[in-house]
Amino acid sequence: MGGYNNKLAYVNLTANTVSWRMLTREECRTWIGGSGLGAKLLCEHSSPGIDPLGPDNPLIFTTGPMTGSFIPGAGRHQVVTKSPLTGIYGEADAGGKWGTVLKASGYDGIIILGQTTRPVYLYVHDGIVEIFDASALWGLDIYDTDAALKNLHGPDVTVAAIGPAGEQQVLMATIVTEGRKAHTAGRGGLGAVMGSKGLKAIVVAGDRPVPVHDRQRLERSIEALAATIEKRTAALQEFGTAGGITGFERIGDMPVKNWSQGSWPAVEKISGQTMSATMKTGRSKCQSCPVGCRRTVKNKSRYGSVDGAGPEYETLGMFGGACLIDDLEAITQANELCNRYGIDTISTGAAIAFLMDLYEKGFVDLEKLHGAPIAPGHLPVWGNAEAMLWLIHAIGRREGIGRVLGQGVRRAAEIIGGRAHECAFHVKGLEMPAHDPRAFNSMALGYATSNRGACHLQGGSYFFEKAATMPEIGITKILDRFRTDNQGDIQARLQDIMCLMDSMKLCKFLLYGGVNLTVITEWLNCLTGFDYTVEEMLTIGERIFNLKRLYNIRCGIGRADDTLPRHILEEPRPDGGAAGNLPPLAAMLQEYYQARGWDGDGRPSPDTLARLELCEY
Amino acid sequence: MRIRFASPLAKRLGSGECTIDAPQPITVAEVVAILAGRFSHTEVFRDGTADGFVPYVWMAFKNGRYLLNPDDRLEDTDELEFIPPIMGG
Ligand code: SF4
Repeated sequence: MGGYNNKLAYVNLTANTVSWRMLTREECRTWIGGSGLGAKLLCEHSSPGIDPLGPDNPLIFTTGPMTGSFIPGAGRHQVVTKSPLTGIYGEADAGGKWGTVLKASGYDGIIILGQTTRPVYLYVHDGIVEIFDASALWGLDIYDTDAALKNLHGPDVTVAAIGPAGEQQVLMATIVTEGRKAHTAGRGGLGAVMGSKGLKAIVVAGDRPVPVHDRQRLERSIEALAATIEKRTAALQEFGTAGGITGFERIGDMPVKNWSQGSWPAVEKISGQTMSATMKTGRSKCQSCPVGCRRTVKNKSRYGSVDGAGPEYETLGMFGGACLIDDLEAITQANELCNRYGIDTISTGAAIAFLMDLYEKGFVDLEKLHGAPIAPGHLPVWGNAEAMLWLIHAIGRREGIGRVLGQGVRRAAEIIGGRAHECAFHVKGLEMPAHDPRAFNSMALGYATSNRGACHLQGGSYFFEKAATMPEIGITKILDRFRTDNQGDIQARLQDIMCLMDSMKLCKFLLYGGVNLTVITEWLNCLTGFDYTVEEMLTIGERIFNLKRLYNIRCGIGRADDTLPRHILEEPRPDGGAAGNLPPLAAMLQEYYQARGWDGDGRPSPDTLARLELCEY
Repeated sequence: MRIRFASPLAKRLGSGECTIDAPQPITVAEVVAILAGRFSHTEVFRDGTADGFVPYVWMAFKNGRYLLNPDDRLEDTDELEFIPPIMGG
């Protein structure tokens, strides 16, 4: 069987032990890897009632069969756990090459159990997992941790680490790989889980190639699509995700002024095109990717120096649009600080925009919240870049007002009380990313039903309302983003397909390049030697999605949680490209539950569970 | 018919807007063919018409709201706008 090492490592930090077990052919066939395998392992090794920051929460790193192969966009890995930010199923993925090297070390995944009181890091190489003392690393930021571990183990190792925020269990902490390249498993506070375990880093090294079942056929199939991928992703190559920002603003998709304003002409000052003209030094690619959508930048400004990853669309959308900061140098510095502390730029930007909104409306006593007076230059007024940077430090260090903001907008609103909840934009506790569901009706349904809370990538439906097609499920032309019919079935099928992408570990941006379900089924079959059909793939995706839902149901999630902030459902954007539109969530949700085979409270019916062979869960 | 180009597309074309005289109704694909001739000094509309109507070079936008497919029809009173492709995110 190609694509796998057939081996999972287990590290119990309470007992200070390492073991491994075979990954069976049946597990690979049924759950594929990445997200699917991670969800299955999470259910296997924990119960939903556990404390996310306690010893019983497993922290699971998985690769997919495609990780580390020569398939384009396959250099990715997944992290799965119970999220401390949301209290439900949590997962995040990252690109770069850490997953590739983990696989090259001989393992398909690592499951971290227990907790240790003294900080440790893992060194995984040649099929061996070693536990080392990390006391000397504790307190270092992401870049310095990366450098220190390379100093110890050689320049060729690859590092996944937490920064000071993860150590302090800030609930929006990330797990960052490759130091200043900052390939980040960003959402849901997974870095806090790693910090709660006393695990500072996982260093990987290895050179074992990924076995390929039918190399020639796979090479031919990739070659046949190479020119199309190259051509259709040209804009992504040239300007990165940031290059789409003027378009996103124009169609009324950006979260301008904490979701209250319809348009923002200043957007051009922070666009990918401006970045290219002023500070871009190059393009960086994840392992085996021909696209290279990531930017590297160099900038020295009054805010500090940056030499590393440039801000992505989401970062620009949240710090720029949501906080009305039109200074690219300041946002680039904000991105740098988040990367160093190891905090999610989406949730951090959302928390700062939330505070600016509260302050303008008089819903917060800043001094009480901070425990001391706030300097006039740091007052959270719209567009105040200095305040943004100061607040990032406070969140990253878990100090003063940052102690509250770092818990995410849902908890922060509960702590502040009064009308603060009106300014908190999240779904199931996860801050909304920089796409407005009023600009894409399908996004409303996607956010409301995503298993990890508000997420644009778990359904990815807006890809198909901009620039991609998926003929296998009837999407043969670009869909109308304001349509109100046939949303339920399409959303469900796209979520199933995104579960497959997250399980094989194939970058979703390849969908812009003409990759579709037929193509990925062919690639997976060539790689593994399995004989999946497109229909079987859809069923596997559906099974994975439903397993995560079952986990969430046991965490207490139901119909009432499948919703959006009131403002998004009831207040249309006043101007711009999505002016006047409100997504008809209730009707779409009903259609969706039917398409999923769920009952009125969003629970999979007994027939659905039997069909998907999920009765044991 | 009045057609607008959002920045930075406007920079590549050297113009923020133009008008065309065209039979009504007209499809978006037909408008693009006219623009490919009008702006033949750049590849913007030439590439955009190749390989079907996949908006990886630009996206078309009618009356401030809808993204379009090639066979969608436009009336003289419609305002058509082209914006840079929105990818990633
Ligand atoms: S398209 Fe971008 S994010 Fe995706 S694998 Fe390639 S470089 Fe990484």
